[in-house]
Amino acid sequence: MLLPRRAFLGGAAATVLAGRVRAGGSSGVVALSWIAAQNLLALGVVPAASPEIAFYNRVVAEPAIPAGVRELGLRSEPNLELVASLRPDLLVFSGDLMRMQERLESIAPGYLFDFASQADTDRLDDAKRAMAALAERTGTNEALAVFLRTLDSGFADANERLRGYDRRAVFIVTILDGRRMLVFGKNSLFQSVLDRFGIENAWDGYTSRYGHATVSVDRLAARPDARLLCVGNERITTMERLEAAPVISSLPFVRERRIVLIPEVLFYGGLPSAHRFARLVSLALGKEGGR
Amino acid sequence: MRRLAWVASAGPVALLLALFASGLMIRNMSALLADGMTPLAILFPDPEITAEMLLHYTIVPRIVIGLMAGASLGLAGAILQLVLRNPLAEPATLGISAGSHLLLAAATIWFPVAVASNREWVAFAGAVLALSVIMALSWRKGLSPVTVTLSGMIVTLYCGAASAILTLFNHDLLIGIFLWGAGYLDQQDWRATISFTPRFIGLACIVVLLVRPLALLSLDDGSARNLGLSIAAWRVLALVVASGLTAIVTAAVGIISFAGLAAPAIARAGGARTTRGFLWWSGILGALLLAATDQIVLSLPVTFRLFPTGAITALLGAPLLLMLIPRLRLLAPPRANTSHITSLSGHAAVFIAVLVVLTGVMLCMAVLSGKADGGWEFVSGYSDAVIAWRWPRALAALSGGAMLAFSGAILQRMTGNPMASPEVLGVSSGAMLGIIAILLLAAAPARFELITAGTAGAFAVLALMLALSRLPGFSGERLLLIGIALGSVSGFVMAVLMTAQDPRLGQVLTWLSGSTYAVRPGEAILAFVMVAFALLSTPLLRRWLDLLPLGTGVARATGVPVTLSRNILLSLSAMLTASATILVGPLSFAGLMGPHLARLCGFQRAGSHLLASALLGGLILLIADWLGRNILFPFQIPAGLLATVVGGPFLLILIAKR
Repeated sequence: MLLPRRAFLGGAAATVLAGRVRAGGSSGVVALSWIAAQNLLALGVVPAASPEIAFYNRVVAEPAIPAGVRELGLRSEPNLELVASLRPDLLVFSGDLMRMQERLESIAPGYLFDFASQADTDRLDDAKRAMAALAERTGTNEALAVFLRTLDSGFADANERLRGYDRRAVFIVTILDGRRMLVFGKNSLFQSVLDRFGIENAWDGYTSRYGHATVSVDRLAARPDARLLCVGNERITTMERLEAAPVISSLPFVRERRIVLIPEVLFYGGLPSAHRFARLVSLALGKEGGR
Repeated sequence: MRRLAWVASAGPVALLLALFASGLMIRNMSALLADGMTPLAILFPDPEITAEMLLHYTIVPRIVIGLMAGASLGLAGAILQLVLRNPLAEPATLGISAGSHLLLAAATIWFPVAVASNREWVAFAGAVLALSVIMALSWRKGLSPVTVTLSGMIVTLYCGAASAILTLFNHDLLIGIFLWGAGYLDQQDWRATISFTPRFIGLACIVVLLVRPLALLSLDDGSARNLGLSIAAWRVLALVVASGLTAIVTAAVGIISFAGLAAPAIARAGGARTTRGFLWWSGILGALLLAATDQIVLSLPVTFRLFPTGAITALLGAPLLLMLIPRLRLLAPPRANTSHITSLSGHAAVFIAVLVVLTGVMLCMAVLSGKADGGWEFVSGYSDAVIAWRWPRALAALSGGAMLAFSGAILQRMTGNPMASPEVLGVSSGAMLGIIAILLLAAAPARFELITAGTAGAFAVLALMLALSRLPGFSGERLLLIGIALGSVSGFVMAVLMTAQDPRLGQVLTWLSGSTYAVRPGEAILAFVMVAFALLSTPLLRRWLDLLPLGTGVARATGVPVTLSRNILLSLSAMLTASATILVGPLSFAGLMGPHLARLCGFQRAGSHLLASALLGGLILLIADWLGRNILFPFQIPAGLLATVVGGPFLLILIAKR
């Protein structure tokens, strides 16, 4: 947790400079999506309100939403009556509320924060561009500089930890049930991060514009030499069920225990998610290198 | 001799299916069999060779379970159709699969550890629970086919809505349940097959014993009673067996709709005349149908191999059903018995006036009162901004509900079928498909584009319905079958969306569940104007709706232009449904509930029935929208879902008491 706190403190300083702090420490900015909240917090802007806070703190985790931020309800339908009654200065929303843009702007100026694209661009670059634009809009360029330094040093630390890694290709997956999983490949934020460390992704098949695909677990058999990296599958029952499947347990990487578990990371998140992923992956994979 | 007759009838179809399925099977398996592998590897795989392990543990059990599940569904569908004397009946119609799905979803949230090891039994308990509810509701009416069918359909809707609420608030947690519910046949070992087999064999044996009673049950009640059968007892037993067959399938591979509808339909169309022949051909055809479909899924390019087989069955089954409808020999259709309801004739006007006042008061309540940070509040200082967000939603809910109920009332009267509602007609499905398509194709479609796409979808369905209704053999109940076929296509699209795990899914889900969230003021006003026009047209429609249900002959004799009036009524109903779908999602419960409540209140004549239906339907969604925005503040429950979950049991009790 060391790095994000540094980022957070740096950001907080910038917030004071930007003169946006209101009573209670929160700004007049309302985040209408998780990625908006995540990036605002990384820039030191504590939103006045944000959707599904408890769930966010469990799944996105970094940077955490502090107590005192108002709950807005479901991500798909943040409560606009409440937003209107908070009389915000700025609404930061993402693609799924774009169809409401005009009406949102009747409450307060709106800012579209999103970086999903159809093009085959590098997701880290996309996220960086989007965050820089957000910093510009919220007047938090100093905080952005601090955050980017933190990110760079986080990546450098991760690279250091991964130096002894055996360079085995990895499948990045989230097991959904005993039979199927999400696999992340081309176009995913995760892949973008692994590219920085020169680690090959074992999945070269189809992925969506968010870089994921749902596949049945026997597709793992295509690369028996790989390592399995499970994101957000710390619940042991899922893994047990997976290993109970004869096909899977016969695969070399299960027999040789080449399975690594890391906590939840938001797969369509921005730079803070990349930062969290780099740290968690390097901590988990760094230990595997000796084999 | 009789035996030979039924072998000859449905035989060619079954043979074709069997050849097709085994051809694909051999192709798919040989793709896996690498050089140097013996066929013996199917039974005794070498753990070191992944291809052999895949063959033995994924491909072969998948074929076996597909055959058995298909046979179970075919048998279950055949039994249900015989007992209920309703060619629309299939395992899913009774709400059995929906019931088990709901219980499994709820149990996964609250008792995750216990569920992990007892999935099959939890699902089975849910199935039995759903059946018990239906039994309890229709017991008083001597388990009359129409009541059972209606209760089953409402239980299905209810379970679907309750599952949807759970999903809305836990959709990341429940993804496993979704995938299970979508009807995947793929296996990773033999466990499911091994636990399925004895249950399937046991139930099939009971079906053998049931052949004779079933033959008698499919006669009308009078002759069955004369033959010395305790009708209710045999019906319950047959329904329990059918639900047992459905439950084992649901527990093992999830909800696979349509096989249970298609197999008996083909058997009947193929000319299986005796009860015995009908049952066995339904079983055999069901098995082959599902196995063949599954092999098609396996033959797809890798990316599309992920489609759930259950959804593909539905997609392939839809055109098949369209071809079969005209050939279908309708069994004696169950009819709603409304004779003993006292007519309101004199008081109708008073009653409608009361409803109008009630609606007005409720509309004010919904706009002026609501929860804020501190609890319930009536409008005060800052609230102007809040009202600007509330009134379009309240007005849209009211108008959407009224449009659906008005259209439902037209459909129920025209078809004389109490199951008719806009969703059954398929117009909602058409609008929904159009809107989903634009949501997924365009990066961020504007509201206008959504409306255009939805209307296009609805009118495409409408055009198809109008074209088909001109053909001989597509009328009344048969038109409803077309709607069910279209509904299954939209089920397929939903399943694919679930599989794709698209982050935009949440948005589609909330809209599908009947939320008024994104409604604009202009749209709400336009919708209200449309409702007003519909209500004003009632005097013109009244005569047609009173006379058309009496039959074409009577209608013609009294000077009603039959074709023209039917086209106008259908177009109006479709237009209203499309508009309502765009406003409040494709939820049809208001369309079913409004006309029912109005009828139960005693509105018999078409004119007052239409008005009262619209008012009641609007009131239901208005109240649901108001409660949904407030009871979990700041979280919001979509109006359509809440109306279903709260109003469903209420409607069930009313139906049971009638």
